[in-house]
Amino acid sequence: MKTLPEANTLKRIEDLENRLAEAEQLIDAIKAGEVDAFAIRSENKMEVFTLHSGDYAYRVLIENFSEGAINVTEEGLIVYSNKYFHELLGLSYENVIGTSVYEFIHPESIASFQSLFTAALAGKSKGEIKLNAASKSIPVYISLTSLYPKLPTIGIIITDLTEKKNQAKLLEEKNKELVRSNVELASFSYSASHDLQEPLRKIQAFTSRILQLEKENFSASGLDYFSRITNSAARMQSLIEALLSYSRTNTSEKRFIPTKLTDVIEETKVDLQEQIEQNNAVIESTALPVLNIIPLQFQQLITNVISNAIKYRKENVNPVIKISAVKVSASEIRGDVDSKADMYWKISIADNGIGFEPRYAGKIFDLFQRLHGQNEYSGTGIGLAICKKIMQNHGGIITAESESEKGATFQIYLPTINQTK
Amino acid sequence: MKALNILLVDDDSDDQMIFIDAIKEIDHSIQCHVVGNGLEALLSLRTKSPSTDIIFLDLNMPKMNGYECLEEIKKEKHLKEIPVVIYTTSKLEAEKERTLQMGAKHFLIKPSDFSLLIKELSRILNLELKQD
Amino acid sequence: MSDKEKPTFIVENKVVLQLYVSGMSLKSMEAIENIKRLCDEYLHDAFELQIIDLYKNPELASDQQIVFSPSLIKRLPLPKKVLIGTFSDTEKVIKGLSITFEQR
Repeated sequence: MKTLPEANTLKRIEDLENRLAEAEQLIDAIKAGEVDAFAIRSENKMEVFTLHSGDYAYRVLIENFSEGAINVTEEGLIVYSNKYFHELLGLSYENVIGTSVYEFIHPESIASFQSLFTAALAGKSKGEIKLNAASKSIPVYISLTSLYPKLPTIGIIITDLTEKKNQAKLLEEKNKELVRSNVELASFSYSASHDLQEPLRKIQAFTSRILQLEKENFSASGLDYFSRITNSAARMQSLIEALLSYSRTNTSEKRFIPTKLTDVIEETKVDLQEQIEQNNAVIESTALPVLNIIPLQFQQLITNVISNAIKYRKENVNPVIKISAVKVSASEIRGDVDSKADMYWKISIADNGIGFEPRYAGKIFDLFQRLHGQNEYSGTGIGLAICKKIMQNHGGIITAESESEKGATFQIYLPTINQTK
Repeated sequence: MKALNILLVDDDSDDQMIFIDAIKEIDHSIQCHVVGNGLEALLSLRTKSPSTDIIFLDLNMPKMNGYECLEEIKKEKHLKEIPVVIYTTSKLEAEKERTLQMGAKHFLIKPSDFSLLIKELSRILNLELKQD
Repeated sequence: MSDKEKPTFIVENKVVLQLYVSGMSLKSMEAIENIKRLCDEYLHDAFELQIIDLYKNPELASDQQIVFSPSLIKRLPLPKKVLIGTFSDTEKVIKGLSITFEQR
């Protein structure tokens, strides 16, 4: 057994060995340049010393990043500038360092800069100003921070806004152009349709006059021919009106207003009163939400769909139209939508009419596409194309599902943005 | 019934023909005078005797259009009481509002059916000229 | 230790480490990366790592006479160990800290 003093000595030796190992490791590390700072306790405070390499990364960052960084004194003298800043001004370092920062600020911005600077002396401030360089004005966003007491300066970070402003300007110009061409198109469409309808009106007026005057003198086939002329003229009239309506869905007002869907449907019932009564049609609906829509356009959409539902009825079955609404996620939608919304209102309008074959589900929304001849069912082939366009204007989509003789269901998907039930 | 004097102001020869035909159909004795623009209308109104009982006024015409003509008519003491019917192809609500505000009594959109035209003209003539 | 020989680790007791760094210095950033990797690969969940920035909180080093950056102090399990450097050689660090592992 070791004696106590021996044990103590052995312990002391172990301690010293450990301390030696640590010290050697330290020396090795310092020799290998693995240390770049240390803190020493003096008078109960820790003082930190930085060796050469300790600052390197900061310098690399500030000197190389794509923002302007400068230090200015209370009087506005630039005592440090990074590369980006003087390059932004198109000047050499020598022409910037030691100059008053006010020399580079656009006369329009002097007042705002002064108030930002004063605010910064109390802490920090941020704002947008214009710089002045080679008779060019540069829009920038600046962030000022007082570095007192560590440094007797105000640090300023400068972000160039030129690109952003250019893009904003471009966007504004594009928008103006769009509004302009829409206005032109609208007036063109209006005058075109108006001028096209003129000769039609006269054909109809004169043929009806002739019929009135000369009815007894006409042969049966003569009368028949006349009525075909009248029919064609009437058909052309409705085509022109429908086309005008179609072109209008693009160029007209696009303001969204929260509207009760039930109100829209009530309005449709008024518009289609005659058709509803003549066909003994019944329109039922479950609880319906408030929707964010372009009122006139959406009204037209509902009217078109319901009018079709009544028109394409089964001969001996009174049309029954059921309207319902449910929220669905975007993943359920078959087809492309413009909106990036996650949730949509799915409004279903289901009828018990003649339906159509599933393979035509897309085709029916094409312009001038009809599944039946004029002699079977009247129509312009434009109504559903208008519906498709209207839903595009709403950032949504309209689809249809059906089987021959089994009725049809039209689904209107409307993105929910701040919708309320 | 005293013979009526109607002034039609319209530059379109087809519409002139249709109008006159319809008027004749309603009452053969009605006198219908036709001019092609606002200037001629004012001239006729100021000088013609016997005076005009009712004016049918188109809007789109050369030299002086319907608006300008209507404005002038309403300024003149001897003319402003004569009922003016705007007779046009325009379906714009704004035009209807404006002309009615300016003092026109009726706004008639030219119908494409002849019998409908007769119906509308009869209705207006009965309304405006009831004192006869 | 080659990859095959690396023991699956259950560290006997939780290891408590303090890493002292100095802001955005190159060595500091290297040390942080290396120690993080060491902890993930060797210590799994059985560790507590506190990173102390001498510029931000020099007072947290005041229990020592002198503290270098970067340096790693193993507080637990005892005995306390101090290592200086960027710790790129993970094996050396483990050895230097005298961390014991149980083989699984």
